[in-house]
Amino acid sequence: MTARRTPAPPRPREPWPTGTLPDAGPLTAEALAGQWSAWADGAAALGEDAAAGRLREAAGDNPIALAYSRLLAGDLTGAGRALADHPESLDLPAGRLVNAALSAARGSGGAYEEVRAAAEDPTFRASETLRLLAVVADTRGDRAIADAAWWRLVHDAGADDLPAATRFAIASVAMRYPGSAADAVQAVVVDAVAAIARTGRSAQAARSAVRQVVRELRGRGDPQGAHLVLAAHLAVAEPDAELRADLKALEKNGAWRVAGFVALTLVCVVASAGMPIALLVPAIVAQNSTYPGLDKTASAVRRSLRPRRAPRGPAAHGDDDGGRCRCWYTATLADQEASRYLADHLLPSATSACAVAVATQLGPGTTVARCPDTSARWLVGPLGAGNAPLALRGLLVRPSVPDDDDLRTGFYL
Amino acid sequence: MTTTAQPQTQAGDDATWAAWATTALEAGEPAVAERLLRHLLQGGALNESGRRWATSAVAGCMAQQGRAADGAALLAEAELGPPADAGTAGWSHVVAAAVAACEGDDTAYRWLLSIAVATEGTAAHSSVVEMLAAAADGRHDGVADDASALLVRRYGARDPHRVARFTATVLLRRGRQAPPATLRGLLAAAADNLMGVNPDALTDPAPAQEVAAQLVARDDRAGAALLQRALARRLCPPGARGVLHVVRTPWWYPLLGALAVLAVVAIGVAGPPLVTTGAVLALLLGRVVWAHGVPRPGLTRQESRAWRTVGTDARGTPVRAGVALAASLVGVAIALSAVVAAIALDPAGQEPSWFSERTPLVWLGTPTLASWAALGIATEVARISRIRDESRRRRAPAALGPDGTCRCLGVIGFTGTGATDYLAGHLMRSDEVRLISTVRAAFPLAVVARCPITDAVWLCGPLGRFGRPLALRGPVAEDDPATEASAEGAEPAGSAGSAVPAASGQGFYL
Repeated sequence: MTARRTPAPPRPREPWPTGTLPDAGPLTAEALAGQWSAWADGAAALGEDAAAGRLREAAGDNPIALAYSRLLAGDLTGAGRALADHPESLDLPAGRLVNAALSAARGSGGAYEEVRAAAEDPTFRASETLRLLAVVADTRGDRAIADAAWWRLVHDAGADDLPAATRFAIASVAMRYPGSAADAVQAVVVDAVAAIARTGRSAQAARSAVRQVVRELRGRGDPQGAHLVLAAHLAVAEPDAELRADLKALEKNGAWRVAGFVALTLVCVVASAGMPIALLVPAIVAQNSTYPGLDKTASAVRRSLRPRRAPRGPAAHGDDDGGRCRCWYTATLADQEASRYLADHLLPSATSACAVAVATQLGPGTTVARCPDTSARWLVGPLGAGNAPLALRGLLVRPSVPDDDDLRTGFYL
Repeated sequence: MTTTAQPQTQAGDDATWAAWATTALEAGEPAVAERLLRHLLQGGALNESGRRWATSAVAGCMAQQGRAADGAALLAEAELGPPADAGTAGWSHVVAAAVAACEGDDTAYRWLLSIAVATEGTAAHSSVVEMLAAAADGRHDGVADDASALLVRRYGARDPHRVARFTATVLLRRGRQAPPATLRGLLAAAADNLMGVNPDALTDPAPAQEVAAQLVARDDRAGAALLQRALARRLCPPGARGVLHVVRTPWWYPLLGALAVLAVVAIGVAGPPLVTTGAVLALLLGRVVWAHGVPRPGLTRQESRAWRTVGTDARGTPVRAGVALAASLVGVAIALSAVVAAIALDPAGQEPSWFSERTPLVWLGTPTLASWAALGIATEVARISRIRDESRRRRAPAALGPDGTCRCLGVIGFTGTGATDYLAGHLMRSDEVRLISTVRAAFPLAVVARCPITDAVWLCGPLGRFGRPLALRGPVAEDDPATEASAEGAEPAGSAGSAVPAASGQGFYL
């Protein structure tokens, strides 16, 4: 048995280790060495493939992952270079798969078949192969396969990043059955925008995603789907004045329609001396009227999607966590949340040669910060698409478990 | 191969108590687990690692019940404390850190947080977060709210205490000025959450009481009032409604409406018809203004709106057009026949003087009011039957046991009606005098039962928080693959102290 007991009941305050991380001290190159790939994983989980590629390049320990990230970001030559520099990576199945995807993106039919087969192969992780297949199919212009792959990536493999959710929304609305009943169509569009809302990104990022969906669906000749997606987003997400204006522009004369309906209701009520039966007339009229540009089913769906109104008075700040530590359950934060966490909770590292090196490598505004409670290292900066701020948690050394005292299973062995 | 696991021996007894304790921990009943484990520590023949496991578990239970000082004393006595070096961490260290953190040790708290970071993504994370929740609770830190939310959302914790805490957190974080529809959705979700904790929650008000108590303790009486209303509107158990009365409406509040109606009737009887019409219109207008513009005491305007409308917008319009039409017609018919009867049965047989003046009012007004009332009643009936349907559907899959199906191999325990049903429908009362007498010493209300097929020993009875029924399974004999695996992996069977129960991927049915 190892000497595991500390015979120190008299002084119980002293002996707790100050963190499992060896680098509670200054920021050194060795302390950073292990962090790059953890940060890259975080960026990949957010669907920020360009940032993930740069971080993997800095990590420099996994050419296959580097090629994968570059391929997803659309940098085919860079991906090819990463694999060519390390020919031994082609000995591994994952390396061969990324290489095949690269050839497929450049037009090879046989390699494309290989990637499609890999997406069904249970030895790979579906979340990775489906994303690979989706991007390759996009590059080749194979819309049917790309849509199916993006859809499965979110629906089956549970991806929850913004780019995937955007493509999921496009795919699921585009693939809806043309003769569906209103209930089914409503479920599809609400599901599509709910995927975007689930990513937890800022209203601004969600807005540009919804606009991308609308643009793409219109480009595919489905203006009704685009209209319904816009309405569904306004019904599900926080109120957004700009998208509201987009919807109003689509529905001309909305005010007149409402006024006409109110007038009809009033006339019916007065004419029948207040009998509730009279309300059936406007109800039937409302059920059978259509919105401009929408058919009967789509109008019924649109009617069930009422845009949420912005609250009057002071803005509701429901989830103000007052700078509490979130490191123990979050590995990534994006947009305002990232900057807010840096400002409220994390301690920016003191200026050192290492911090300067990070900033020059990843662009100005990028800092390495430390959590004062858990001493986890966070990389914070405008790394995302469109310079969106990201915060990526680094790695803590996983403690080793004494033989006879199992941490893995807790109470119940 | 024999399937009997007669716990006649000391080791068999210990294994039974340990299995019960494990299930009690899993069910979120630290008090029950603590009593079981204490019995094991006092009477059982545990080896060193078994004793350390049991001691840590007892200390963890104490921390979860807000008695960290007792836990600290227990751990100091057993000489359990921080790890020898920074690179190792075991379960006993996690518990010791949580206890020390409750006692105000900041370093221990930070160490625990860093262990939670380091174990994220592993199977241990949820157990570490449970201890973190206890530690943060003891320090009155908001991390406890986040931990409960994580355990419910990510790890699917279903025990009433945890879900109550989570629900309270969600309600506390609502924006008080948020749109009424948002608040209504939040309240309906909270009510469903509480009623879904336990398929039997329709008769178990305890979780709802706990949420209300937490909200009141954290100075959110408005939240408690809203929850009370949401539960009442979604037809929660009558018991919950009674106990939940943390926020009382002023006694004159319901009287206002009645007084206004009486005033209008009085005007109708005494005043000229034109004034009566005006009074009726004023009453209707006043009702609309009251409902939309006047907040209830202690609530914001948006909250008041949510309070008045919660439970009315569960998917789709509750009354279809046909039902509305029928209700209206019935109302008209009843009112007209009443008026006709009043004329026909008029004893004097002559034209009543008061009647002629108000004829248009009576002929139009009575049927209109009657049909609106009929419509309102039809709406309410439809709402209630829809909610009853929903809860019946939610409840159906958990109705098990009475058919006598043996589930002892797939399940480690039941709570709520599941527990009572399984005891009544499948298990047999045990006749083992020694075990029963020791169990009764610790739990006076307990029933020791035995599965007629697998011979597993069950501890049943209203043992949980607020008298919640529990059924905790003991170890199952050799034909259970999980037990077999652990018997091979651990010490040889029969050696004293192999009391730590088997790992199992088996579900726990609430």
